[in-house]
Amino acid sequence: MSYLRENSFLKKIFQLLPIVVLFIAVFNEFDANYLGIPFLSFNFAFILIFFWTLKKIDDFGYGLIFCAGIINDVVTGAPIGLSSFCYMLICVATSYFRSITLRPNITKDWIFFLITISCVNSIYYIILSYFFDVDIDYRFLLTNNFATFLIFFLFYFIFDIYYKKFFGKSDV
Amino acid sequence: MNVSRDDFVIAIRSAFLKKGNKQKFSLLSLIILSIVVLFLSNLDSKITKMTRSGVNEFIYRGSFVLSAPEKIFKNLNSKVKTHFGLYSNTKKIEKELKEFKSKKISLDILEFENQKLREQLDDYLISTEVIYSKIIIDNKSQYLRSFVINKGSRDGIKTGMVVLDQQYLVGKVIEVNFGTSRVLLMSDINSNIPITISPGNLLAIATGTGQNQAKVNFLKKIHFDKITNDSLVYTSGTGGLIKSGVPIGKIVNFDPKVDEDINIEFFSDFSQLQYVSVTAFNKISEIETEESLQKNKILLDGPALRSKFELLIQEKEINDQITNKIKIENENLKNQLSKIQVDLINKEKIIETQNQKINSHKIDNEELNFLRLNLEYGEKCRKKAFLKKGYKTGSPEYKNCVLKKGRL
Repeated sequence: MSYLRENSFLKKIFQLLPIVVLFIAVFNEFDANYLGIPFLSFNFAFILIFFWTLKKIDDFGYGLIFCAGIINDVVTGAPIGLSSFCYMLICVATSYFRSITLRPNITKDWIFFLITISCVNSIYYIILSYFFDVDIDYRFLLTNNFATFLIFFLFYFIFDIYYKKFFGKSDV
Repeated sequence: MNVSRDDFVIAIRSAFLKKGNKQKFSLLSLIILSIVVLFLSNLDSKITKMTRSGVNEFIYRGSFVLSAPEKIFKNLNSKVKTHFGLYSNTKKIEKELKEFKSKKISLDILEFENQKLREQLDDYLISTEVIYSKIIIDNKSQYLRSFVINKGSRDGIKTGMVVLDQQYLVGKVIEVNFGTSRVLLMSDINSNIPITISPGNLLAIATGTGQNQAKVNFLKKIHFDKITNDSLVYTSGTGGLIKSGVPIGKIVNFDPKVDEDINIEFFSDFSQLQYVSVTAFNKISEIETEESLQKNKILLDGPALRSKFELLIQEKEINDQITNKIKIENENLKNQLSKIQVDLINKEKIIETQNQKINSHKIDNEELNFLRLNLEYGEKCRKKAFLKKGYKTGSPEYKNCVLKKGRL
Protein backbone atom coordinates (compact mmCIF):
# COMPACT_ATOMS: atom_id res chain seq x y z
CA MET A 1 0.00 0.00 0.00
CA SER A 2 2.89 2.35 0.75
CA TYR A 3 4.13 1.69 -2.79
CA LEU A 4 0.84 3.01 -4.13
CA ARG A 5 1.14 6.14 -2.02
CA GLU A 6 4.70 6.76 -3.16
CA ASN A 7 3.97 6.24 -6.86
CA SER A 8 2.63 9.63 -7.94
CA PHE A 9 0.89 8.33 -11.08
CA LEU A 10 -1.05 5.62 -9.23
CA LYS A 11 -1.78 8.05 -6.41
CA LYS A 12 -3.27 10.49 -8.90
CA ILE A 13 -5.43 7.72 -10.36
CA PHE A 14 -6.71 6.76 -6.92
CA GLN A 15 -7.38 10.40 -6.10
CA LEU A 16 -9.38 10.79 -9.31
CA LEU A 17 -11.30 7.57 -8.72
CA PRO A 18 -14.23 9.12 -6.75
CA ILE A 19 -15.07 11.53 -9.57
CA VAL A 20 -14.64 8.74 -12.15
CA VAL A 21 -17.03 6.58 -10.13
CA LEU A 22 -19.51 9.48 -10.03
CA PHE A 23 -19.41 9.78 -13.83
CA ILE A 24 -19.83 6.02 -14.27
CA ALA A 25 -22.75 6.10 -11.81
CA VAL A 26 -24.57 8.88 -13.66
CA PHE A 27 -23.90 7.37 -17.08
CA ASN A 28 -25.33 4.04 -15.89
CA GLU A 29 -27.87 5.45 -13.47
CA PHE A 30 -26.38 3.02 -10.98
CA ASP A 31 -28.69 1.77 -8.25
CA ALA A 32 -27.45 -1.84 -7.85
CA ASN A 33 -31.00 -3.18 -8.05
CA TYR A 34 -30.36 -5.95 -10.57
CA LEU A 35 -32.94 -8.30 -9.08
CA GLY A 36 -35.71 -5.75 -9.57
CA ILE A 37 -36.73 -5.79 -5.89
CA PRO A 38 -39.19 -2.94 -5.39
CA PHE A 39 -38.11 0.03 -3.27
CA LEU A 40 -34.51 -1.20 -2.99
CA SER A 41 -32.99 1.42 -5.27
CA PHE A 42 -30.88 4.20 -3.85
CA ASN A 43 -29.27 7.33 -5.21
CA PHE A 44 -25.58 6.50 -5.36
CA ALA A 45 -24.67 9.90 -6.82
CA PHE A 46 -26.08 11.67 -3.73
CA ILE A 47 -23.92 9.53 -1.42
CA LEU A 48 -20.79 10.13 -3.48
CA ILE A 49 -21.30 13.87 -3.76
CA PHE A 50 -22.21 14.30 -0.11
CA PHE A 51 -19.25 12.32 1.22
CA TRP A 52 -16.54 13.64 -1.06
CA THR A 53 -17.61 17.30 -0.97
CA LEU A 54 -17.80 17.03 2.80
CA LYS A 55 -14.22 15.79 2.80
CA LYS A 56 -13.39 18.63 0.41
CA ILE A 57 -10.94 16.87 -1.84
CA ASP A 58 -9.56 19.03 -4.64
CA ASP A 59 -10.17 16.61 -7.49
CA PHE A 60 -13.89 16.40 -6.73
CA GLY A 61 -14.61 19.80 -8.25
CA TYR A 62 -17.96 21.55 -8.39
CA GLY A 63 -17.67 22.05 -12.13
CA LEU A 64 -17.35 18.31 -12.66
CA ILE A 65 -20.30 17.65 -10.36
CA PHE A 66 -22.30 20.13 -12.43
CA CYS A 67 -21.39 18.21 -15.62
CA ALA A 68 -22.33 14.92 -13.93
CA GLY A 69 -25.75 16.42 -13.18
CA ILE A 70 -26.24 17.35 -16.84
CA ILE A 71 -25.34 13.78 -17.86
CA ASN A 72 -27.70 12.34 -15.26
CA ASP A 73 -30.57 14.46 -16.60
CA VAL A 74 -29.96 13.38 -20.18
CA VAL A 75 -29.74 9.69 -19.22
CA THR A 76 -32.85 9.72 -17.03
CA GLY A 77 -34.84 11.98 -19.37
CA ALA A 78 -35.37 14.71 -16.78
CA PRO A 79 -35.26 18.41 -17.73
CA ILE A 80 -31.60 19.28 -18.36
CA GLY A 81 -30.09 21.21 -15.47
CA LEU A 82 -32.35 19.86 -12.74
CA SER A 83 -29.94 17.26 -11.33
CA SER A 84 -27.09 19.78 -11.56
CA PHE A 85 -29.16 22.16 -9.49
CA CYS A 86 -29.86 19.42 -6.92
CA TYR A 87 -26.21 18.37 -6.79
CA MET A 88 -25.18 21.98 -6.25
CA LEU A 89 -27.64 22.23 -3.36
CA ILE A 90 -25.98 19.19 -1.77
CA CYS A 91 -22.62 20.89 -2.25
CA VAL A 92 -23.95 24.04 -0.55
CA ALA A 93 -25.24 21.93 2.34
CA THR A 94 -21.94 20.10 2.80
CA SER A 95 -19.98 23.32 2.53
CA TYR A 96 -22.16 24.90 5.20
CA PHE A 97 -21.99 21.79 7.38
CA ARG A 98 -18.22 21.65 7.10
CA SER A 99 -17.86 25.27 8.20
CA ILE A 100 -20.11 24.90 11.27
CA THR A 101 -18.78 21.51 12.44
CA LEU A 102 -15.85 21.42 14.82
CA ARG A 103 -15.85 17.77 15.81
CA PRO A 104 -17.27 15.70 12.99
CA ASN A 105 -18.58 12.20 13.61
CA ILE A 106 -20.54 9.68 11.62
CA THR A 107 -23.85 10.18 13.48
CA LYS A 108 -23.91 13.90 12.80
CA ASP A 109 -22.97 13.33 9.16
CA TRP A 110 -25.59 10.68 8.80
CA ILE A 111 -28.41 12.81 10.25
CA PHE A 112 -27.35 15.82 8.23
CA PHE A 113 -27.28 13.64 5.12
CA LEU A 114 -30.91 12.64 5.74
CA ILE A 115 -31.97 16.28 6.14
CA THR A 116 -30.04 17.30 3.03
CA ILE A 117 -31.33 14.60 0.69
CA SER A 118 -34.89 15.01 1.99
CA CYS A 119 -34.78 18.72 1.17
CA VAL A 120 -33.14 18.13 -2.20
CA ASN A 121 -35.61 15.41 -3.18
CA SER A 122 -38.51 17.64 -2.14
CA ILE A 123 -37.17 20.45 -4.30
CA TYR A 124 -36.69 17.96 -7.15
CA TYR A 125 -40.31 16.80 -6.79
CA ILE A 126 -41.69 20.33 -6.58
CA ILE A 127 -39.78 21.54 -9.64
CA LEU A 128 -40.77 18.52 -11.74
CA SER A 129 -44.43 18.52 -10.69
CA TYR A 130 -45.20 22.22 -10.65
CA PHE A 131 -42.83 23.73 -13.22
CA PHE A 132 -42.54 20.93 -15.75
CA ASP A 133 -45.86 19.13 -15.23
CA VAL A 134 -44.16 15.75 -14.97
CA ASP A 135 -45.89 13.30 -12.65
CA ILE A 136 -43.72 11.38 -10.20
CA ASP A 137 -44.84 8.73 -7.78
CA TYR A 138 -43.77 10.39 -4.52
CA ARG A 139 -43.75 6.97 -2.78
CA PHE A 140 -40.76 5.99 -4.93
CA LEU A 141 -39.05 9.21 -4.01
CA LEU A 142 -39.68 8.63 -0.31
CA THR A 143 -38.50 5.02 -0.34
CA ASN A 144 -35.50 5.95 -2.46
CA ASN A 145 -34.72 8.71 0.03
CA PHE A 146 -34.94 6.30 2.98
CA ALA A 147 -32.92 3.57 1.23
CA THR A 148 -30.22 6.11 0.32
CA PHE A 149 -30.13 7.27 3.95
CA LEU A 150 -29.73 3.69 5.24
CA ILE A 151 -27.08 2.64 2.74
CA PHE A 152 -25.04 5.81 3.35
CA PHE A 153 -23.83 4.27 6.62
CA LEU A 154 -22.18 1.38 4.76
CA PHE A 155 -20.61 3.56 2.08
CA TYR A 156 -19.39 6.02 4.72
CA PHE A 157 -17.15 3.31 6.21
CA ILE A 158 -15.87 2.19 2.82
CA PHE A 159 -15.18 5.72 1.61
CA ASP A 160 -13.61 6.70 4.92
CA ILE A 161 -11.11 3.84 4.68
CA TYR A 162 -10.34 4.85 1.10
CA TYR A 163 -10.00 8.49 2.12
CA LYS A 164 -7.57 7.73 4.93
CA LYS A 165 -5.47 5.55 2.61
CA PHE A 166 -5.14 7.93 -0.31
CA PHE A 167 -5.90 11.43 0.97
CA GLY A 168 -4.59 11.34 4.52
CA LYS A 169 -6.60 11.86 7.73
CA SER A 170 -10.01 13.50 7.56
CA ASP A 171 -9.95 17.26 7.91
CA VAL A 172 -13.66 17.45 8.75
CA MET B 1 -27.99 36.00 19.45
CA ASN B 2 -26.39 38.49 17.08
CA VAL B 3 -23.18 36.53 17.18
CA SER B 4 -24.88 33.25 16.25
CA ARG B 5 -26.77 34.96 13.41
CA ASP B 6 -23.54 36.46 12.16
CA ASP B 7 -21.92 33.03 12.27
CA PHE B 8 -24.77 31.59 10.25
CA VAL B 9 -24.54 34.35 7.65
CA ILE B 10 -20.78 33.92 7.42
CA ALA B 11 -21.16 30.14 7.05
CA ILE B 12 -23.80 30.52 4.33
CA ARG B 13 -21.80 33.16 2.50
CA SER B 14 -18.73 30.98 2.71
CA ALA B 15 -20.72 27.99 1.40
CA PHE B 16 -22.00 29.90 -1.64
CA LEU B 17 -19.02 32.02 -2.53
CA LYS B 18 -15.82 30.41 -1.24
CA LYS B 19 -13.77 28.50 -3.77
CA GLY B 20 -11.26 25.78 -2.97
CA ASN B 21 -7.64 25.66 -4.11
CA LYS B 22 -8.40 24.02 -7.42
CA GLN B 23 -12.06 25.09 -7.74
CA LYS B 24 -12.68 27.32 -10.74
CA PHE B 25 -16.33 28.10 -10.02
CA SER B 26 -18.16 29.17 -6.88
CA LEU B 27 -21.31 27.29 -5.95
CA LEU B 28 -23.47 30.37 -6.44
CA SER B 29 -22.32 30.78 -10.04
CA LEU B 30 -22.98 27.08 -10.74
CA ILE B 31 -26.44 27.24 -9.17
CA ILE B 32 -27.29 30.24 -11.34
CA LEU B 33 -25.86 28.43 -14.36
CA SER B 34 -27.97 25.32 -13.65
CA ILE B 35 -31.13 27.48 -13.41
CA VAL B 36 -30.24 29.16 -16.71
CA VAL B 37 -29.65 25.74 -18.34
CA LEU B 38 -32.95 24.52 -16.92
CA PHE B 39 -34.80 27.41 -18.56
CA LEU B 40 -32.87 27.30 -21.82
CA SER B 41 -33.29 23.57 -22.29
CA ASN B 42 -37.05 23.98 -22.33
CA LEU B 43 -37.14 26.81 -24.82
CA ASP B 44 -38.48 25.92 -28.23
CA SER B 45 -35.95 27.82 -30.31
CA LYS B 46 -33.97 26.17 -33.07
CA ILE B 47 -30.57 26.79 -31.45
CA THR B 48 -31.53 25.27 -28.10
CA LYS B 49 -33.13 22.32 -29.87
CA MET B 50 -29.99 21.66 -31.87
CA THR B 51 -27.73 22.07 -28.83
CA ARG B 52 -29.95 19.78 -26.77
CA SER B 53 -30.03 17.24 -29.56
CA GLY B 54 -26.21 17.32 -29.83
CA VAL B 55 -25.72 16.96 -26.06
CA ASN B 56 -28.25 14.11 -25.91
CA GLU B 57 -26.61 12.36 -28.83
CA PHE B 58 -23.16 12.56 -27.26
CA ILE B 59 -24.29 11.44 -23.81
CA TYR B 60 -26.48 8.60 -25.13
CA ARG B 61 -23.55 7.16 -27.08
CA GLY B 62 -21.29 7.52 -24.05
CA SER B 63 -23.85 5.89 -21.80
CA PHE B 64 -24.29 3.03 -24.29
CA VAL B 65 -20.55 2.29 -24.18
CA LEU B 66 -20.16 2.71 -20.43
CA SER B 67 -23.23 0.69 -19.50
CA ALA B 68 -22.14 -2.34 -21.57
CA PRO B 69 -20.44 -4.18 -18.65
CA GLU B 70 -23.37 -3.46 -16.35
CA LYS B 71 -25.77 -4.75 -18.99
CA ILE B 72 -23.86 -8.02 -19.18
CA PHE B 73 -24.18 -8.43 -15.43
CA LYS B 74 -27.88 -7.56 -15.51
CA ASN B 75 -28.61 -10.01 -18.31
CA LEU B 76 -26.75 -12.81 -16.56
CA ASN B 77 -29.61 -13.53 -14.18
CA SER B 78 -32.26 -13.76 -16.89
CA LYS B 79 -29.95 -15.83 -19.08
CA VAL B 80 -29.38 -18.39 -16.32
CA LYS B 81 -33.13 -18.63 -15.72
CA THR B 82 -33.79 -19.04 -19.46
CA HIS B 83 -31.11 -21.71 -19.75
CA PHE B 84 -32.53 -23.86 -16.97
CA GLY B 85 -36.08 -23.57 -18.26
CA LEU B 86 -35.12 -24.20 -21.89
CA TYR B 87 -36.61 -27.69 -22.34
CA SER B 88 -39.95 -26.94 -20.70
CA ASN B 89 -40.16 -23.63 -22.55
CA THR B 90 -39.52 -25.31 -25.91
CA LYS B 91 -42.23 -27.91 -25.26
CA LYS B 92 -44.65 -25.19 -24.24
CA ILE B 93 -43.82 -23.09 -27.28
CA GLU B 94 -44.21 -26.06 -29.64
CA LYS B 95 -47.65 -26.75 -28.25
CA GLU B 96 -48.64 -23.12 -28.55
CA LEU B 97 -47.28 -22.95 -32.10
CA LYS B 98 -49.49 -25.83 -33.18
CA GLU B 99 -52.54 -24.10 -31.73
CA PHE B 100 -51.66 -20.78 -33.30
CA LYS B 101 -51.05 -22.29 -36.72
CA SER B 102 -54.54 -23.75 -36.74
CA LYS B 103 -56.01 -20.39 -35.76
CA LYS B 104 -53.96 -18.41 -38.27
CA ILE B 105 -56.09 -18.96 -41.37
CA SER B 106 -59.37 -18.11 -39.70
CA LEU B 107 -57.73 -15.04 -38.15
CA ASP B 108 -56.51 -13.89 -41.56
CA ILE B 109 -60.02 -14.14 -42.90
CA LEU B 110 -61.44 -12.24 -39.94
CA GLU B 111 -58.76 -9.60 -40.26
CA PHE B 112 -59.55 -9.13 -43.89
CA GLU B 113 -63.26 -8.79 -43.16
CA ASN B 114 -62.51 -6.35 -40.37
CA GLN B 115 -60.30 -4.32 -42.63
CA LYS B 116 -63.01 -4.10 -45.28
CA LEU B 117 -65.62 -3.00 -42.75
CA ARG B 118 -63.30 -0.37 -41.30
CA GLU B 119 -62.54 0.96 -44.74
CA GLN B 120 -66.27 1.39 -45.24
CA LEU B 121 -66.44 3.32 -41.96
CA ASP B 122 -63.38 5.40 -43.00
CA ASP B 123 -61.62 4.20 -39.85
CA TYR B 124 -58.94 2.04 -41.33
CA LEU B 125 -55.42 3.13 -40.43
CA ILE B 126 -52.33 1.57 -41.89
CA SER B 127 -48.75 1.89 -40.80
CA THR B 128 -47.02 4.04 -43.41
CA GLU B 129 -43.48 3.00 -42.59
CA VAL B 130 -42.04 0.61 -40.06
CA ILE B 131 -38.60 1.49 -38.70
CA TYR B 132 -36.80 -1.26 -36.82
CA SER B 133 -34.44 -0.09 -34.12
CA LYS B 134 -32.22 -1.30 -31.29
CA ILE B 135 -32.48 -0.17 -27.69
CA ILE B 136 -29.19 1.40 -26.66
CA ILE B 137 -30.02 2.69 -23.18
CA ASP B 138 -32.51 0.96 -20.94
CA ASN B 139 -31.81 2.33 -17.48
CA LYS B 140 -34.91 1.87 -15.40
CA SER B 141 -35.22 5.19 -13.67
CA GLN B 142 -37.47 5.27 -10.63
CA TYR B 143 -39.05 8.42 -11.95
CA LEU B 144 -39.28 8.07 -15.70
CA ARG B 145 -39.92 4.75 -17.44
CA SER B 146 -38.27 5.16 -20.79
CA PHE B 147 -35.52 3.89 -23.05
CA VAL B 148 -33.39 5.25 -25.87
CA ILE B 149 -33.33 3.77 -29.38
CA ASN B 150 -30.65 4.08 -32.06
CA LYS B 151 -32.86 5.78 -34.67
CA GLY B 152 -33.60 9.47 -34.89
CA SER B 153 -34.77 12.23 -37.20
CA ARG B 154 -32.36 11.15 -39.98
CA ASP B 155 -34.21 7.80 -40.11
CA GLY B 156 -37.65 9.43 -40.25
CA ILE B 157 -38.57 9.17 -36.57
CA LYS B 158 -40.97 11.86 -35.36
CA THR B 159 -42.32 12.74 -31.93
CA GLY B 160 -45.53 10.85 -31.19
CA MET B 161 -44.76 7.80 -33.31
CA VAL B 162 -45.88 4.48 -31.89
CA VAL B 163 -43.40 1.86 -30.66
CA LEU B 164 -44.26 -1.82 -30.94
CA ASP B 165 -42.70 -5.06 -29.76
CA GLN B 166 -43.87 -7.60 -32.40
CA GLN B 167 -47.58 -6.75 -32.44
CA TYR B 168 -47.76 -5.41 -28.88
CA LEU B 169 -47.82 -1.76 -27.94
CA VAL B 170 -44.80 -0.62 -25.91
CA GLY B 171 -45.03 3.19 -25.86
CA LYS B 172 -44.47 6.27 -27.95
CA VAL B 173 -41.61 8.52 -29.00
CA ILE B 174 -41.31 11.65 -26.83
CA GLU B 175 -37.93 13.05 -27.84
CA VAL B 176 -36.14 12.90 -31.17
CA ASN B 177 -32.47 13.65 -31.76
CA PHE B 178 -30.48 13.29 -34.97
CA GLY B 179 -29.52 9.63 -34.50
CA THR B 180 -31.32 8.65 -31.29
CA SER B 181 -34.79 8.94 -29.78
CA ARG B 182 -36.36 8.51 -26.36
CA VAL B 183 -39.42 6.29 -25.96
CA LEU B 184 -41.85 6.72 -23.08
CA LEU B 185 -43.04 3.31 -21.91
CA MET B 186 -46.69 2.57 -21.22
CA SER B 187 -45.75 1.77 -17.62
CA ASP B 188 -44.70 5.37 -16.92
CA ILE B 189 -47.20 7.36 -14.88
CA ASN B 190 -47.18 10.12 -17.50
CA SER B 191 -48.43 7.68 -20.17
CA ASN B 192 -52.18 7.70 -20.99
CA ILE B 193 -53.47 5.49 -23.81
CA PRO B 194 -57.13 5.12 -24.88
CA ILE B 195 -58.10 1.45 -24.62
CA THR B 196 -60.92 -1.01 -25.18
CA ILE B 197 -61.54 -3.88 -22.77
CA SER B 198 -62.95 -7.01 -24.31
CA PRO B 199 -65.39 -8.76 -23.78
CA GLY B 200 -67.82 -5.94 -23.11
CA ASN B 201 -66.24 -3.46 -25.52
CA LEU B 202 -65.57 -1.01 -22.66
CA LEU B 203 -63.75 2.23 -23.42
CA ALA B 204 -61.27 3.59 -20.87
CA ILE B 205 -57.78 5.05 -20.43
CA ALA B 206 -54.72 3.00 -19.46
CA THR B 207 -52.35 4.94 -17.20
CA GLY B 208 -48.92 3.69 -16.18
CA THR B 209 -48.18 3.01 -12.53
CA GLY B 210 -44.42 3.49 -12.57
CA GLN B 211 -44.04 -0.26 -12.07
CA ASN B 212 -44.46 -3.06 -14.60
CA GLN B 213 -48.21 -2.59 -14.89
CA ALA B 214 -50.80 -0.04 -15.92
CA LYS B 215 -54.20 0.66 -14.39
CA VAL B 216 -57.57 1.38 -15.96
CA ASN B 217 -58.94 4.89 -15.46
CA PHE B 218 -62.18 6.66 -16.42
CA LEU B 219 -64.35 3.57 -16.28
CA LYS B 220 -67.67 3.72 -14.42
CA LYS B 221 -68.30 1.19 -11.65
CA ILE B 222 -71.48 -0.06 -13.36
CA HIS B 223 -69.27 -1.76 -15.94
CA PHE B 224 -67.16 -3.62 -13.38
CA ASP B 225 -69.33 -6.75 -13.60
CA LYS B 226 -68.38 -7.08 -17.29
CA ILE B 227 -64.68 -7.25 -16.43
CA THR B 228 -63.00 -10.48 -15.44
CA ASN B 229 -59.43 -11.56 -14.95
CA ASP B 230 -57.82 -12.27 -18.34
CA SER B 231 -60.11 -9.79 -20.12
CA LEU B 232 -58.16 -8.50 -23.11
CA VAL B 233 -56.99 -4.91 -23.40
CA TYR B 234 -56.21 -3.30 -26.74
CA THR B 235 -56.07 0.19 -28.20
CA SER B 236 -59.40 1.82 -28.96
CA GLY B 237 -58.06 4.10 -31.69
CA THR B 238 -59.63 7.16 -30.07
CA GLY B 239 -57.67 10.24 -31.08
CA GLY B 240 -56.48 8.72 -34.33
CA LEU B 241 -52.83 8.46 -33.23
CA ILE B 242 -52.83 4.70 -32.78
CA LYS B 243 -55.00 2.37 -34.81
CA SER B 244 -57.57 0.37 -32.90
CA GLY B 245 -56.96 -3.26 -32.06
CA VAL B 246 -53.27 -3.12 -31.16
CA PRO B 247 -52.95 -5.58 -28.24
CA ILE B 248 -51.65 -4.17 -24.95
CA GLY B 249 -52.22 -6.72 -22.20
CA LYS B 250 -54.78 -8.41 -20.01
CA ILE B 251 -56.58 -7.68 -16.76
CA VAL B 252 -55.02 -9.33 -13.70
CA ASN B 253 -55.80 -9.62 -9.99
CA PHE B 254 -59.16 -7.90 -10.34
CA ASP B 255 -61.59 -8.35 -7.48
CA PRO B 256 -64.01 -5.41 -7.05
CA LYS B 257 -64.88 -6.59 -3.53
CA VAL B 258 -61.28 -6.21 -2.35
CA ASP B 259 -59.90 -3.42 -4.50
CA GLU B 260 -61.46 -1.27 -7.21
CA ASP B 261 -58.16 -0.78 -9.04
CA ILE B 262 -58.09 -2.59 -12.38
CA ASN B 263 -54.54 -3.61 -13.24
CA ILE B 264 -53.28 -4.38 -16.72
CA GLU B 265 -50.41 -6.80 -17.21
CA PHE B 266 -48.59 -6.05 -20.45
CA PHE B 267 -48.16 -8.76 -23.08
CA SER B 268 -44.67 -7.45 -23.75
CA ASP B 269 -41.98 -7.78 -21.08
CA PHE B 270 -40.42 -4.33 -21.08
CA SER B 271 -37.37 -5.50 -19.13
CA GLN B 272 -36.41 -7.94 -21.90
CA LEU B 273 -36.76 -5.64 -24.89
CA GLN B 274 -33.81 -5.46 -27.28
CA TYR B 275 -35.34 -4.49 -30.59
CA VAL B 276 -38.54 -2.56 -31.31
CA SER B 277 -40.37 -1.27 -34.36
CA VAL B 278 -41.41 2.36 -34.65
CA THR B 279 -44.37 3.27 -36.83
CA ALA B 280 -47.00 5.91 -37.52
CA PHE B 281 -50.59 5.15 -38.47
CA ASN B 282 -52.43 7.07 -41.19
CA LYS B 283 -55.67 6.72 -43.08
CA ILE B 284 -55.39 5.39 -46.61
CA SER B 285 -57.29 8.36 -48.00
CA GLU B 286 -54.85 10.77 -46.29
CA ILE B 287 -51.92 8.94 -47.76
CA GLU B 288 -53.54 9.02 -51.17
CA THR B 289 -54.11 12.76 -50.98
CA GLU B 290 -50.60 13.54 -49.74
CA GLU B 291 -48.96 11.34 -52.29
CA SER B 292 -51.06 12.55 -55.17
CA LEU B 293 -50.18 16.13 -54.35
CA GLN B 294 -46.51 15.40 -53.85
CA LYS B 295 -45.94 13.18 -56.82
CA ASN B 296 -48.01 15.17 -59.27
CA LYS B 297 -50.51 12.44 -59.87
CA ILE B 298 -48.08 9.77 -60.97
CA LEU B 299 -50.52 6.92 -60.93
CA LEU B 300 -48.54 3.75 -61.34
CA ASP B 301 -45.86 4.44 -58.74
CA GLY B 302 -48.14 6.04 -56.14
CA PRO B 303 -47.88 4.46 -52.68
CA ALA B 304 -51.67 4.68 -52.38
CA LEU B 305 -52.05 2.49 -55.46
CA ARG B 306 -49.30 0.27 -54.20
CA SER B 307 -51.03 -0.12 -50.86
CA LYS B 308 -54.29 -0.89 -52.68
CA PHE B 309 -52.46 -3.34 -54.85
CA GLU B 310 -50.98 -4.94 -51.74
CA LEU B 311 -54.44 -5.13 -50.24
CA LEU B 312 -55.71 -6.82 -53.40
CA ILE B 313 -52.82 -9.27 -53.29
CA GLN B 314 -53.65 -10.01 -49.67
CA GLU B 315 -57.29 -10.47 -50.63
CA LYS B 316 -56.28 -12.82 -53.42
CA GLU B 317 -54.03 -14.79 -51.09
CA ILE B 318 -56.82 -15.16 -48.56
CA ASN B 319 -59.25 -16.15 -51.34
CA ASP B 320 -56.76 -18.72 -52.61
CA GLN B 321 -56.41 -20.07 -49.13
CA ILE B 322 -60.18 -20.32 -48.78
CA THR B 323 -60.46 -22.05 -52.20
CA ASN B 324 -57.74 -24.52 -51.30
CA LYS B 325 -59.39 -25.21 -48.00
CA ILE B 326 -62.75 -25.81 -49.71
CA LYS B 327 -61.12 -28.05 -52.34
CA ILE B 328 -59.47 -30.16 -49.69
CA GLU B 329 -62.75 -30.40 -47.79
CA ASN B 330 -64.55 -31.37 -51.03
CA GLU B 331 -62.06 -34.12 -51.75
CA ASN B 332 -62.41 -35.41 -48.24
CA LEU B 333 -66.19 -35.42 -48.52
CA LYS B 334 -66.04 -37.31 -51.83
CA ASN B 335 -63.78 -39.93 -50.35
CA GLN B 336 -66.05 -40.26 -47.36
CA LEU B 337 -69.11 -40.62 -49.63
CA SER B 338 -67.55 -43.40 -51.73
CA LYS B 339 -66.45 -45.18 -48.57
CA ILE B 340 -69.96 -44.95 -47.16
CA GLN B 341 -71.45 -46.33 -50.41
CA VAL B 342 -69.10 -49.32 -50.35
CA ASP B 343 -69.95 -49.91 -46.73
CA LEU B 344 -73.65 -49.76 -47.55
CA ILE B 345 -73.37 -52.36 -50.30
CA ASN B 346 -71.37 -54.68 -48.05
CA LYS B 347 -73.85 -54.29 -45.26
CA GLU B 348 -76.82 -54.98 -47.58
CA LYS B 349 -75.12 -58.20 -48.62
CA ILE B 350 -74.60 -59.19 -45.02
CA ILE B 351 -78.24 -58.45 -44.23
CA GLU B 352 -79.41 -60.59 -47.15
CA THR B 353 -77.35 -63.61 -46.07
CA GLN B 354 -78.55 -63.16 -42.53
CA ASN B 355 -82.17 -63.05 -43.71
CA GLN B 356 -81.61 -66.26 -45.65
CA LYS B 357 -80.19 -67.87 -42.56
CA ILE B 358 -83.14 -66.70 -40.48
CA ASN B 359 -85.61 -68.06 -43.05
CA SER B 360 -83.88 -71.42 -43.24
CA HIS B 361 -83.83 -71.51 -39.49
CA LYS B 362 -87.61 -70.82 -39.48
CA ILE B 363 -88.25 -73.66 -41.95
CA ASP B 364 -86.15 -75.99 -39.90
CA ASN B 365 -88.17 -75.14 -36.86
CA GLU B 366 -91.49 -75.81 -38.65
CA GLU B 367 -90.20 -79.16 -39.94
CA LEU B 368 -89.05 -80.13 -36.50
CA ASN B 369 -92.41 -79.20 -35.03
CA PHE B 370 -94.20 -81.26 -37.69
CA LEU B 371 -92.01 -84.32 -37.04
CA ARG B 372 -92.57 -84.02 -33.32
CA LEU B 373 -96.38 -83.81 -33.80
CA ASN B 374 -96.23 -86.57 -36.42
CA LEU B 375 -94.77 -88.92 -33.89
CA GLU B 376 -97.53 -88.08 -31.48
CA TYR B 377 -100.58 -87.65 -33.73
CA GLY B 378 -99.53 -89.32 -36.97
CA GLU B 379 -101.41 -92.48 -36.08
CA LYS B 380 -104.69 -90.60 -35.77
CA CYS B 381 -104.36 -88.88 -39.11
CA ARG B 382 -103.11 -91.83 -41.20
CA LYS B 383 -105.64 -93.62 -43.43
CA LYS B 384 -106.27 -97.20 -42.34
CA ALA B 385 -107.41 -100.18 -44.41
CA PHE B 386 -110.88 -100.52 -42.90
CA LEU B 387 -111.74 -97.01 -41.97
CA LYS B 388 -112.85 -94.11 -44.08
CA LYS B 389 -111.27 -91.56 -41.80
CA GLY B 390 -107.63 -90.39 -42.26
CA TYR B 391 -105.46 -89.21 -45.03
CA LYS B 392 -102.76 -90.59 -47.18
CA THR B 393 -99.32 -90.17 -45.63
CA GLY B 394 -97.38 -87.25 -47.13
CA SER B 395 -100.45 -85.47 -48.51
CA PRO B 396 -101.11 -81.85 -47.55
CA GLU B 397 -104.30 -82.90 -45.69
CA TYR B 398 -102.28 -85.32 -43.63
CA LYS B 399 -99.80 -82.63 -42.79
CA ASN B 400 -102.59 -80.25 -41.86
CA CYS B 401 -104.17 -82.92 -39.64
CA VAL B 402 -100.88 -83.56 -37.80
CA LEU B 403 -100.37 -79.85 -37.25
CA LYS B 404 -103.93 -79.65 -35.83
CA LYS B 405 -102.88 -82.36 -33.38
CA GLY B 406 -104.88 -85.18 -34.93
CA ARG B 407 -108.23 -83.39 -35.40
CA LEU B 408 -109.68 -84.58 -38.66
